[in-house]
Amino acid sequence: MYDCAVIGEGLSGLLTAIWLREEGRTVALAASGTGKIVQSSGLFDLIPGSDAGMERWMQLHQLDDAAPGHLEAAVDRFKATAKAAACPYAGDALHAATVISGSGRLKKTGLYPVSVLPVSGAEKITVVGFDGLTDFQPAFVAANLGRDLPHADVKHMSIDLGLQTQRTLTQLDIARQLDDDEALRQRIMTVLSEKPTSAGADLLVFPSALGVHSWRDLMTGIGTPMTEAAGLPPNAAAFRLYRGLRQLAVRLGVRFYLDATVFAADDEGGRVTSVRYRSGGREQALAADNFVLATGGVLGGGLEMLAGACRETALGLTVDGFGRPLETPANVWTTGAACGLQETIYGITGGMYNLLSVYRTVGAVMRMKEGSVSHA
Amino acid sequence: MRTIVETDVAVIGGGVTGVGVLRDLALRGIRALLIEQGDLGHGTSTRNHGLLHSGCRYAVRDPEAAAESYHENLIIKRTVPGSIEKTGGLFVKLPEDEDGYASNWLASCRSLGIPVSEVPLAEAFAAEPLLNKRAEAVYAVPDAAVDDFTLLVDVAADAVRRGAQMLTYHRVRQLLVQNARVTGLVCRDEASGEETEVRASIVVNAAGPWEKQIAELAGLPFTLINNKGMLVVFNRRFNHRVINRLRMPGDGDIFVPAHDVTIFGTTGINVEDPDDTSLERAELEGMLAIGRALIPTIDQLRIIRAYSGSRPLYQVDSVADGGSGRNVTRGMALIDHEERDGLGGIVSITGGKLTTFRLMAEKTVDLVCAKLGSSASCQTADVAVAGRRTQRFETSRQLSPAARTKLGSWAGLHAPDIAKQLNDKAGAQTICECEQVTWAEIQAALPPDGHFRLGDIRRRTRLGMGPCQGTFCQFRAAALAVKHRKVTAEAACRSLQRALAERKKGMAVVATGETAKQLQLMEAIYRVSLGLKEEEEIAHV
Repeated sequence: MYDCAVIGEGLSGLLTAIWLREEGRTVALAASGTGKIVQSSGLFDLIPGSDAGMERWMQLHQLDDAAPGHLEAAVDRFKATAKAAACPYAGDALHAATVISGSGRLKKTGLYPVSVLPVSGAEKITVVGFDGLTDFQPAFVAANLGRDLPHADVKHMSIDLGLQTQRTLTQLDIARQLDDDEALRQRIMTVLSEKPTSAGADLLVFPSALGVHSWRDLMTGIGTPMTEAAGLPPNAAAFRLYRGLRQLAVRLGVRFYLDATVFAADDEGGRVTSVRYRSGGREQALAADNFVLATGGVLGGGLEMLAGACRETALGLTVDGFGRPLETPANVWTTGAACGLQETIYGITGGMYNLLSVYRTVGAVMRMKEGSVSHA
Repeated sequence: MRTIVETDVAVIGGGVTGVGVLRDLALRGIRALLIEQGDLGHGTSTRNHGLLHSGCRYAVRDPEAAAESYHENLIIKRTVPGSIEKTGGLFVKLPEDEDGYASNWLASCRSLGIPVSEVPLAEAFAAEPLLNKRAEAVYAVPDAAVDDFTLLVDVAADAVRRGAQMLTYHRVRQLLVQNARVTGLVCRDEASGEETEVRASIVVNAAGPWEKQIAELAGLPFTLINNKGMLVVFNRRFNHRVINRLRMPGDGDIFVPAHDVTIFGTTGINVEDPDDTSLERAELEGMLAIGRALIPTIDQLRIIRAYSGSRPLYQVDSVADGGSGRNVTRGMALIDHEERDGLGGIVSITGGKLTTFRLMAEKTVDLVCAKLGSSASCQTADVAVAGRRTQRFETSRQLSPAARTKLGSWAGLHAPDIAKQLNDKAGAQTICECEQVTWAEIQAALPPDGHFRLGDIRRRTRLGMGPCQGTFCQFRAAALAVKHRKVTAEAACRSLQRALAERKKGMAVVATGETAKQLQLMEAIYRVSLGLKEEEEIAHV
């Protein structure tokens, strides 16, 4: 019997589990597969696909006046968590940073891994790609970047890593090759220091592919200021965060139930006593005092779009057309994209909303445990 | 400054009828120039079932059209082999379908000479596991699947090889009239704005749903019903043969296996605007409800996309039928405006079907020849268009096995060009994993005019037609085109934005289950991760 069972292994699920465990609760995490975090860019945007600020964000999510304060606290806590997960983040809640995307177009973001450097007055920029990495074309990225930064001198180059394959290489494939092969990392550093295109640059732009765990060696070794530009998934930066949070959760003692598809709940007097999950062809029950639904929205699989309606897939909660639960058992909370379609834009909530949502969910679960209040 | 071009025949419309006319003219040694407002086949010609009719569908209601269809079915199988898959078809009678219709149908097919044979039910159910087990009778017919995209570009390419000319992305602005004769036309390059004056002895109006607009440029009255039909694409090919319902033709009663998918349709709604390709959820639901009778598990099958196109149906008199449009003839209408309206130098060809495009072209060109005083006879029933199979890539080690297989049945006359591109390491890269499209193939499909349009590439390579609907490959193709200096980054992004909007349109109306997820993934990647903002799309498109 756990204090809390979290369902879902995306950003919301992992963070909820970690933060509750840090508060001394016993926590189980059940997930059917890897969360959508691995298909993300690894950046924490305020409003997905938009440069608008805090005011608009609060309107979109219909937030109360306490939200900015809670977000700041959530950001501080997340930064500490990310650092503990060996995947440190920079940026802050109130000031957006401008970063380079995998298309070369600039975008605004809130928090970013330290392998990403916001754009700030660089004049000689070189975009560096790798031969065979179809998903990141340095010529295309450089041309777009040149359009968005008309005063910068943007060049591009490609490094041959000698990789041969018949299938399409992703950024994560390259990252894993670099992790496995120190000679490859050395080759990159040598080429960059020898070629005039890169040696003279004051900012180097790479795909999000500089190793899952060897990225720090590369960054230090290269010396020149550099940034990773996240593009077509999978991006190494997103995978680093996923991996780091997962390892941290394990270290902290979160108990993982993997390949566990939660499909129903057992109710008793308006409370859920256990959830039922399918794993390896068998059906089992997972009992806990509290349950957090971090199953994601439509993209994450927590909600399913039907013709003109929505279905909640894990507990079978009754939901409205947006996937918002109409009646939630007293000890069940939804967090992140699982809160409903009205919190998502282009299918996602944006990392900043996730942080606020998890922060508040964890607070509510804690208060519930202390017996003071039930959730609103 | 206007460019002036002289030719014998100007053909307006780059759909299957227009390119059929162009090729027929070229084979008869007559100079011809085709003018198309967009890409070849952006209209009705690629917005249909992809069904090569056996004629059975029309056997009761329109025996003449049925006979034409069967006759042409045999010719097309022989003369455009690269675009036909001889799947065969089934007509299935359900208990609720009228017995009287079935017996009339059978008698009519027999009298028309269309080979129809009854299939034992057990055999039919074994061959088509998803077919409704309540079926009472199943008949095999010589239907086939036709790839309308390849058909169109291959027929057009053959015409060009034989000396015909084409101007795509040129919109006809004016018909030139002198002494009660059309003497040519003025068209405008949609990209550059430059105008071209085409002087021709005869103008053939083969503009399909846009035919009325063209006729009106010369003040000719023209009554055309544009009857819009919706179709959907399933994520897999769940039937081996074309499945038709054995009843009076109606909505939602044809399933066509096409490459790796099944196409299902259709509906019929009369629309005013030939550019109206809107998609309504209610229309889809209605169609699915009917389709459930043939395929009871239809709601569990994943639809990846919907599309619609307009059948141009000609009406002899100008009284609207006020009905569904299904009662108007599916037969062709060849209009000699000299005879009908007293205006020489122009003929219109409309109505008809994909299956009968060659015959429509033949009759049109016969009339054109009579007017030109030429005695050249039609050769399109005998002279075949080059096929698409090639053994050239069987040993191409740099290709993935799936890409090798695809090119083996797809490369056709582009094989030498593609093979050359494969010498470069970048050429062998698979860009579209759903449809196994390599960069070599994309390069071979790029138009000589230097314009980069993902839609044109899609129609020629199937790039972005698979379950992910271009989520990954469209970005890759655009970025690689910039790398290889085929297009500027700005134009590439513009094309990406357009392609994205177009893919989204076809997905949104069917976006439930996995397709809803896929659409969100596509949007999250482009709009959020890649920073391609929607506002810019609105500004550009």
